[in-house]
Amino acid sequence: MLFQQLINGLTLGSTYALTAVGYSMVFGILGLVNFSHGSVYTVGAFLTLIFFTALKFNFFVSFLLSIILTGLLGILIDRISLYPLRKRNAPKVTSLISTIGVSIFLQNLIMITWGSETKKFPLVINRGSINLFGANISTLQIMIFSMCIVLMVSLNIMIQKTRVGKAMRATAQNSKAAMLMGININAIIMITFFMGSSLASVAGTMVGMYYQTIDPYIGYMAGLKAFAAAVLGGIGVLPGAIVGGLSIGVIEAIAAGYLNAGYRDAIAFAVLVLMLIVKPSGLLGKQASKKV
Amino acid sequence: MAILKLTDVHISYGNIKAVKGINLEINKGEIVTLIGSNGAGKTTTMNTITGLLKPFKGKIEFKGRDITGKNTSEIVKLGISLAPEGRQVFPRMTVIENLELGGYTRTKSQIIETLGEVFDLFPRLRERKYQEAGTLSGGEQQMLAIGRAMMARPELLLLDEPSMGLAPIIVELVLKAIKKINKLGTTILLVEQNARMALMTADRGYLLETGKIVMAANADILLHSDKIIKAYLGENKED
Ligand SMILES: Nc1ncnc2c1ncn2[C@@H]1O[C@H](COP(=O)(O)OP(=O)(O)OP(=O)(O)O)[C@@H](O)[C@H]1O
Ligand SMILES: [Mg+2]
Repeated sequence: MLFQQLINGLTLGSTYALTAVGYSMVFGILGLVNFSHGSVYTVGAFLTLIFFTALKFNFFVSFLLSIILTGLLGILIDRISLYPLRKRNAPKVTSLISTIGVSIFLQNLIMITWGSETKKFPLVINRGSINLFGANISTLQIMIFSMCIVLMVSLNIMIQKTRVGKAMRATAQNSKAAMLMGININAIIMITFFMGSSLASVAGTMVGMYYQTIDPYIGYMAGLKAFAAAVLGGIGVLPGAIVGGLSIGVIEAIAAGYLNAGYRDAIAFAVLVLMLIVKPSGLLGKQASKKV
Repeated sequence: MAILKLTDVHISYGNIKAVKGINLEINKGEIVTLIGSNGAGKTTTMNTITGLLKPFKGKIEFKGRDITGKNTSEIVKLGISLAPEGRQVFPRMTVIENLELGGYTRTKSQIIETLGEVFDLFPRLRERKYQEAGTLSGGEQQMLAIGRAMMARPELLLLDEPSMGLAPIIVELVLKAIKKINKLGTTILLVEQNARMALMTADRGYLLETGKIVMAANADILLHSDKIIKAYLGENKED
């Protein structure tokens, strides 16, 4: 029972981690929380579904198209709702409100174009399963978990080792100095939004496959949990997103298993609050950040 | 021919006019210093040359080419680098990562070559290659900031108060390094709080007062000018 909950928790937790990266990267570079990220996750899941069921594309083609288009949506969101404010040196809170506006807009756009009812997400991966220590682990769970981990680890290596990754870290640490190195800050911001958003599309699609349904609200709770994961791990610190996402996934799965499924969200956030009282900068956070 | 030429440059922060129409020229191979008291507009001028700020009037030319209003990344690519006021190193990156970023616009092999030159100039940085920049001492951070600006192999190197907060012995080392960099073929614009040090290092100097250039002459003339001695060099004019 415990082991089964652990497996379920790790599966969902890995998708929280993947979504958390988007919050964390944008916060690192721009110093603000992008509240439209949850809706971007929803759009990602819907795009995959539309290409797959309505346009009858091959599943992997649909998935890939969704990843690219959702990434571009991220860039568009920055260009329309944040860049003009940034250019005028608007306060961070203004930008934050702007992202909330985008979030509401996207959610409503989905409801208007595809209706607000729950959509069935077809079975794509054969749901075979293996039995390990009395727990049932489905192929899909293994696929989701390993895909998330592979993506997160590659992202970390990219940020640590590559030229563009170093430019991203430099921009996060001191954007003026980064400009003086000849780094094109606007290009870095675009890359950041593209990557964060396309990873959210991967997470949204995989959760859709996992539950076999999606609706226009999936990004709301997923976004909150991923944001909590980013904060729990230490926002702006990428490995923190992995640790935070997996922790929240496991904690809520165990809470659901042993207490009552209705408590899962409450317990997840209660743990977040407790953790932050003990360590305000998050599990892997270095120092308290003064950004909003 | 002047490598850098500012013509009637005006810069403001909102309604506050910080620089009110300055003209300035730097010839290839020179060390030129811009001196002036706090708030005179020195940093504002440096930030404008590198495109971090845009002038609302006037023209900036680099090697005969108009660079007014261009983006910082383009200006850096053209060959101007700034070691900014307050060092501004990347605190959570190692010394070597900071230096590599300095050479962001260049190829890997060019970076490796210049890295050697920077380490020869500042052996302390070589010893501390893998230390996080945020944990370096102030003087070491200053060496890193200068070294990082050198990594782009600029034709024109701008240094904004490289001696700020440093012990006299380190200041001497930094100024020696500046002369050496200049000998290797880099033109330098030096901003200094310490007018004596600056004028002893430079070929020519400009005196900036509340956004206007009030004197421009060879460094030794400025060193012996009554106005400068009274206002900036203090009592001990004999040494
Ligand atoms: N961001 C800003 N907003 C408004 N005013 C500014 C800003 N930055 C500088 N100023 C003003 O512009 C003037 C010139 O400032 P600047 O930093 O260029 O001086 P400085 O000559 O470099 O002085 P210091 O020797 O103290 O570094 C000052 O009066 C300063 O108060
Ligand atoms: Mg200054």
